[in-house]
Amino acid sequence: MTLDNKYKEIMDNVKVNEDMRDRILKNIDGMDIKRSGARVSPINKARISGIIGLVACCGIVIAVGGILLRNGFATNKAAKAEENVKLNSDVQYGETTVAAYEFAGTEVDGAAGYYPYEDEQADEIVETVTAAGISQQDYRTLGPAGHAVVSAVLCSYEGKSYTLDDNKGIGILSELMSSYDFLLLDTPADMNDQLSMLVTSDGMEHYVTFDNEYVAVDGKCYQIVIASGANRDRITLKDDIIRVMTSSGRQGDPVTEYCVR
Amino acid sequence: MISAGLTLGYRRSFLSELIGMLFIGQAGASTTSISEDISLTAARLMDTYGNQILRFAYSYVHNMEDAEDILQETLISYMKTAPVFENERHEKSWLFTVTANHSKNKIKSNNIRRADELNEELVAEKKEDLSFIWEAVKNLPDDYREVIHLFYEEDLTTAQIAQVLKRRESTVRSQLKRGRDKLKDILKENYDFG
Repeated sequence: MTLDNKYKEIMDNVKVNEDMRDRILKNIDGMDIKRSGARVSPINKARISGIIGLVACCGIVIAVGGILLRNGFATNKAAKAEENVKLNSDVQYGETTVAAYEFAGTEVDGAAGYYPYEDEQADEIVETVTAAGISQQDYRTLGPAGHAVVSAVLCSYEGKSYTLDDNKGIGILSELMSSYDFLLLDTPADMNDQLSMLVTSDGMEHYVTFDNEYVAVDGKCYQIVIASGANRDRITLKDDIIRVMTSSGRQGDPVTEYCVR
Repeated sequence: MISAGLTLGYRRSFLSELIGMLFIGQAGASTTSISEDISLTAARLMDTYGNQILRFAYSYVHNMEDAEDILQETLISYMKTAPVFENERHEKSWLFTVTANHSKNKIKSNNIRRADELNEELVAEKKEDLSFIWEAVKNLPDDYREVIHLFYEEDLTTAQIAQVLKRRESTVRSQLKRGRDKLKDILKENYDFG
């Protein structure tokens, strides 16, 4: 007698019946599901590189996955957390409209600052914001502690791309983010000579653009502020990311196909 | 063509996706409504992966109602993100990852229902041996149980499990071994764990 067979025999009792099938499909059919403006393409990098060069890039794209999260992008702000809600809307960013990213399927690590997503309200309310300003949508998407981040790619800097995809590199980047908090803005911000990253986390790719004042994650804008207790007197996020990526990242051709502006 | 691509999901190539976005304007542009695409895609996912997603979710929450919620949430996540895949295996892996994340979020919300219909059914059918095994599996730490489920129910390799759960393969191998050891300890020598 093998556990293999027995476990399958147990699980054979769990199945989708006709009622459940109809119920779920009817629910989905009745929802006003808005597709993300940012396409998620969990595809292999070889194919991406094959396409590079076919498309002219209008901006700089970077991929940084869980960087924004590791330290606390959304860490333990529970003590001072207060909720407010923000109506769903496309986010006007620079000259490009990028649909707000609504994926909620990324594990939240730790209960602090976590608020269950209310399906009943899904048509009107798409995100909950803590006093710290971190969108719970982004929190879920990018994940805390950076553990789910697979890679971060500075799409183009001085004609090259830089990729961090090892634990140490991601860790350095995450540590860098820990001295900042991010305040969600209702309106888009004008960035100054922004850079872009493409962050892969939990099989999803996220667009991150930033300068030394603002960060945008999949179109949602945040103002960068120095975290309380952080040992720094000015914001140097952009410069620091460039330094980390160019010193520790793997150099390659610029990534252009994910430019969002 | 785009609507067909959305319906077929993983069959759609990245290149055609890119061309569609560049030259048609946006991915959703087509002669078929997005809502129709969504209905067809949801039905395809339900018929192809419904049982697998439901069972994986059940392995976390141990009740049918929450597992059904997670199945629905997983399908909605798919619709919202409209991911593009290289192949069916990749699509399945993505769905398992999202199912795991939704399940863990559900557990952390502390809003899990207590009923375990599976165990009740096994007991009612006088399948005590299966009930005993299920109770043993249920009591494993979450990290071990999800690995055990994917290994024994889905026949995934440890490399594939690592990809789904975003862990190192060595970690998965270790968790699989420890999970088996714990089950052996509970179930004694009655089962072959090969």
